Amino acid sequence: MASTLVASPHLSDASLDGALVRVRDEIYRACGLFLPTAEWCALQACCQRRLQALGLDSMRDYLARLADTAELAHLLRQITAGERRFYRYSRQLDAFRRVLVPAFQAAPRRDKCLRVGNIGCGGGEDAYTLAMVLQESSRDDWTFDIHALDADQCLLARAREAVYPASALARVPPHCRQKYFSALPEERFALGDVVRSRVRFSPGDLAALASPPFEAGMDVIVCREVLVHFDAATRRRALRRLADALNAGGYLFLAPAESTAGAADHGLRLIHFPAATAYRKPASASLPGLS
Amino acid sequence: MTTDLVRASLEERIKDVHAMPTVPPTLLPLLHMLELPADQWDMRKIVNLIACDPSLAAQCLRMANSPLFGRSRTITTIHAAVITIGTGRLWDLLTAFCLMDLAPADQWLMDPLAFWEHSFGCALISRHLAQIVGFTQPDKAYAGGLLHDVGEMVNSLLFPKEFRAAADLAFAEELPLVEAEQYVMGISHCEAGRLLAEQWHLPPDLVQVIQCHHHQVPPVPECAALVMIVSLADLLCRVRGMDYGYYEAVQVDLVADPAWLFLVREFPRLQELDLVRLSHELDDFAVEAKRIVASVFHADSK
Repeated sequence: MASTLVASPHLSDASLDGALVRVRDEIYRACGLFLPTAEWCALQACCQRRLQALGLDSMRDYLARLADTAELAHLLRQITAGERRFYRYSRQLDAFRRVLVPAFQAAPRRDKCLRVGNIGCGGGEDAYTLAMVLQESSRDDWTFDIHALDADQCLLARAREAVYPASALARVPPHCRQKYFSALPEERFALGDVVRSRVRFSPGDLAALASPPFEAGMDVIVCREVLVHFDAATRRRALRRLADALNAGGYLFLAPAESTAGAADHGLRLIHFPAATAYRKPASASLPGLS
Repeated sequence: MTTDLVRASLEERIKDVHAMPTVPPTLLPLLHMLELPADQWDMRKIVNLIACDPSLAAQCLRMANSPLFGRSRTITTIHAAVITIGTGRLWDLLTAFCLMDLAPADQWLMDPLAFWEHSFGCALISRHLAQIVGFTQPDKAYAGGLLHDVGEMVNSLLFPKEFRAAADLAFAEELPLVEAEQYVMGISHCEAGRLLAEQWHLPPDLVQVIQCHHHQVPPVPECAALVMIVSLADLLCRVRGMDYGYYEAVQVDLVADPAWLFLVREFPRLQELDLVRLSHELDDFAVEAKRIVASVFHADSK
């Protein structure tokens, strides 16, 4: 597990791990994002860029700066600026497809419709991924409804257009790629109507909402890399709103490194799946906190 | 054949002690070492123990000379090897060496690498949990984690046909292996493991770990804390990527698990534990377990 961090002009190797641990802990304390050891190279690279941008010499100086919420926001934007792709976070998708969908389909329910919400949907990659996964595991007697929100109208327009570069499709299973996408000029791909028509997009800003973000109760909400950008009070309020939007027994997926740490009064329970976690609203909503 | 008949026939066969793997000669002395804290170990005795087992001696020398320890000069004596490896890791490695060649790899029905990665992962996490809660024998917890699933080996060697069917069912239906075993064979690796552990004369608390870690049989009160630590560690392994190499479609509410509920009553400081943080930290143990198994197995495969 010895870290293989690249030597840097600003940091001596000996102090490096210690400094990164402190940055990681500070991030976790501030917004519940816990960066695993496997991502320390990326964390270090982000810190380096910030050090250069600020003209600082040492991690110690940078740690002091990190107390400033604006600087923390800068760093977090860098850390979470991952490329948007289909089928990201495969272990969470496994939990969704192999554990939750069969469990919902086996449950005695009148409406026979799995309701999925996606907040901070960006260009629609996550929402359409869920649609493809559900389309692939569909049963005649079950249907599904996906409602995706984003605060950014430009991104929503892009999501509705549903044209993507080849790089976004790298993890799409070949049979789904064949079935649901058609090639356009210049290495671009258009998502077909079979999937496109299954997702509704609306404008919505979780930070600004005064009521639950969806009109009907959701069985699953996916909300990745949104909460980390909120301040503590907004984050807490948003989490409660998400909890309100879930049906009893419903699940909330954040990004794998995200958590509700520091905002635990939402009544949701941490649930583990193989190599993935989610938060569940207790099936009997009147007894939160009891097992 | 109904499950009852299968069960009866398996119980008959399990009594055939000659078919069981024999206990590795150094295992019991190694487990005995745990009765004392590491700083009170008698190094001379340990060196003698290793010297009596040529295969163990060879593995120690190879390990001490491996890049893992980065020595420039070749180490040629067992004493120097023991010093190089250091007491912090010595016990873990010796136990690994003596368990690894228990069963020939070609007789395994499961992927032996996955089995040992799960076992070492469980050992490391058991010790970690023991330290977190303040359990007095963290190394005992490590031993329990390492040995908790030896019953899988018994099932694999003694009942290949039935165990294959159970494993196939578990893989296909993404079920926990223990459930598939119960369904197909009527007995699980817990019972098979107990018989092996008793035949090997393992300490009674470790027998309890092997028999009770899936909560099918309640442990005796004196051993309950150890059993529950390993049981919780086993669960954590299965949800943090140290599984048996197949997808188990489970969802786990850790704080509602019987092992967690027991341990919280017994060790109230567990209540303070940040489970999110722990889960992420466990991923480092997965890396460590893989490294131990790779370093030990590498030599065996040559």
